[in-house]
Amino acid sequence: MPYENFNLSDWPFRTSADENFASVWAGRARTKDQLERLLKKMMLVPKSGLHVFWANFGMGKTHTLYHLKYRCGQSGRQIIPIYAAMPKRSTGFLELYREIVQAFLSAEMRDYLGRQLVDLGQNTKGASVALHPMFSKSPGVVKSLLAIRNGDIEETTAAMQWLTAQPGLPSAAMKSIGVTYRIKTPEDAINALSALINLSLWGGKKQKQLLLMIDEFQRVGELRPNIINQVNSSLHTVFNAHPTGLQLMLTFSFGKKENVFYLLSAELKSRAEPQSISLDVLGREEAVAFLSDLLGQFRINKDDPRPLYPFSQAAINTMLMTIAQKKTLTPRRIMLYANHVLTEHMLNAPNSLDEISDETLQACIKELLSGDLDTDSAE
Amino acid sequence: MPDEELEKAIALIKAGNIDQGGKILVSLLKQNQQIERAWAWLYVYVKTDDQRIYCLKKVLELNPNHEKAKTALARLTKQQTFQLEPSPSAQENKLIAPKDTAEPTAKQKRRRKPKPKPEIQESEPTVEKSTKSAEPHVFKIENYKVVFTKPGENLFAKDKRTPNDFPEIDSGMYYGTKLVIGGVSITSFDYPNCVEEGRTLHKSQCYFCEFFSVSDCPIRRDPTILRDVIALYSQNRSYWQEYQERRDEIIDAIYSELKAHGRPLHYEILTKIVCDRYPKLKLNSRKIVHIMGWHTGKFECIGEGVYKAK
Repeated sequence: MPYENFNLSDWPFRTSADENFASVWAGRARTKDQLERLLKKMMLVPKSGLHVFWANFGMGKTHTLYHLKYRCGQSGRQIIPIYAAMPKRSTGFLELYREIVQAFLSAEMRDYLGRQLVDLGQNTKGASVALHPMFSKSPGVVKSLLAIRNGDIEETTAAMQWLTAQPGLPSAAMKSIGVTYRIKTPEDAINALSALINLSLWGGKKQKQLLLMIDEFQRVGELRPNIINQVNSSLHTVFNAHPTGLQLMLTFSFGKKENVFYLLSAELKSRAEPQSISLDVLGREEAVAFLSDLLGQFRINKDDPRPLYPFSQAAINTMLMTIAQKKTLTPRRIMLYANHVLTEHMLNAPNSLDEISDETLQACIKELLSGDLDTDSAE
Repeated sequence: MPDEELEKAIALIKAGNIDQGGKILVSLLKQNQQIERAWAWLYVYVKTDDQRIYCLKKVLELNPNHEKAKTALARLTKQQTFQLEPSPSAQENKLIAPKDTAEPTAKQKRRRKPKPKPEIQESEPTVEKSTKSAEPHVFKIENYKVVFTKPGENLFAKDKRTPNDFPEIDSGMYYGTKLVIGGVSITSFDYPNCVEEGRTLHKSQCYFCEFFSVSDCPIRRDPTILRDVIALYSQNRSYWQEYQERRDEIIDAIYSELKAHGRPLHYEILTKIVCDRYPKLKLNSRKIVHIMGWHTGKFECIGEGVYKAK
């Protein structure tokens, strides 16, 4: 829905990550450069990598992952992005496995894995794909993928249930897709995940890379030490099983970057890339650049000389100064306040073409700061 | 009969059973107010100085040559005049005398337990200080039991140590201490007024004591006990203060780390963080979870072992 009087093609402010806006990247040029270099490195070098991504609260970590996913999509399938979030109050690696496999079973990935199976079948010259060494430790994976490929609804449902290690799958359903065991232990899950990764990476003239992004990995900090060890060691085993082609990205969001050290096992820490990605709070100039860049990406008329329109420069300065006096400047917070001011302005002066003045902004923001619930911590 | 009753009452009072003896005296005096010895012994039973003065005056009415009554009356009258200008310590003590009741309070009843063989009464207590003059706080106390317990433990729980296990108080540990004298526990937080005053009180003030009766008070018998109890307890209070300071430091450390992290954390992870950053506090997961469990104003348990800063 365009907002022509503001010269905006869509509403630019989102306070939670929106996959539809994954293509948008505003400001934070250093991080953008870091991400671009990371993608290029992945395409240049076949070796696997473990990347640690830390972000402060409200800095757009999830949006950054969506943007990475979007950028991977532009790489012509050389980098296959998989996005999964660490489940809350997990009881073991099996739950994280479920989240990852759910992402593998998205419609797009199902098609891709199906095509890979067909290519593999053609390559094996008559031998069954199920006998391919990549499935030796988890033969059920290929059988369930073949069942999904066949298209029968009942078989597809059973196969998806089996792959995602859902409890309560009847033996008859398992029999119908030709599997004889269930995924019950972390070892089963590791083998199944390895088989899926192997199949994703198989073939192609160039070495493919699978970018496995695990969001909210800081949630392991809420788990009992034995579960943390299980999750860490399982990831470490999966990573070790793929010396090439696997890019594992673990994201953390909390106030102190140094605490990442306490949430990773020694094995994972020793495998982590020396250069981590960080998204820390914005400075005043970075915040102005972020806003003008954000608004610029939604301009209908790109030639508008006013980069902050419908805000005046003075109004933005006041807004940022007011926020910075009490809180840190984060993209989420800036968008929250800008959204509030702009919607108030729309209500007070519909179809107005005037810039939002300093006085108008102050009147809007004054009442906000007194009873504000927003703090510098997690929601 | 009245003579027998009187002798019985006096014997009871001498044996420390003041309440029972006093009641007999009151009933005797209701029948006949002319018994000089009854008034003299009622002096021990009554609770207020006014009542004591009244008793002494009655004794002197019946026998103007009663020297002891004269002296006691003179001292009490003088003391009353003095107490018209309240001293700070008296104000602090907030000693409020029971007005007309001669019944002992429930607390007195609980604490004034006549012991079959009180350790103090059998032999005079000897209190020896350690020979090391550099460690004035280390006492060796014989004849009465010293019980050391950790803060947080019930000081009145069953005694866990014998006098032979007399502890050496090292600066790294913080003990709450109680002394068990004649079967009565006194702690560094709950002790007779004479410990607060720093001197042996007048007998009349000792009637208010909730710990010992005047007749079997070990502190009255041996003032050295008082001196050492005061020293031991003032040392304990300083330990307690140190302990509180350390506890506050620990709470601040845990709280600041959780607050800076901004997300809930399992206490095991939090322990690793706090131990690495504050090695001097010498913490372990048990201590940390204990502290967070107690200070619910600062920490909130949001799951099994998971805490966040409020």
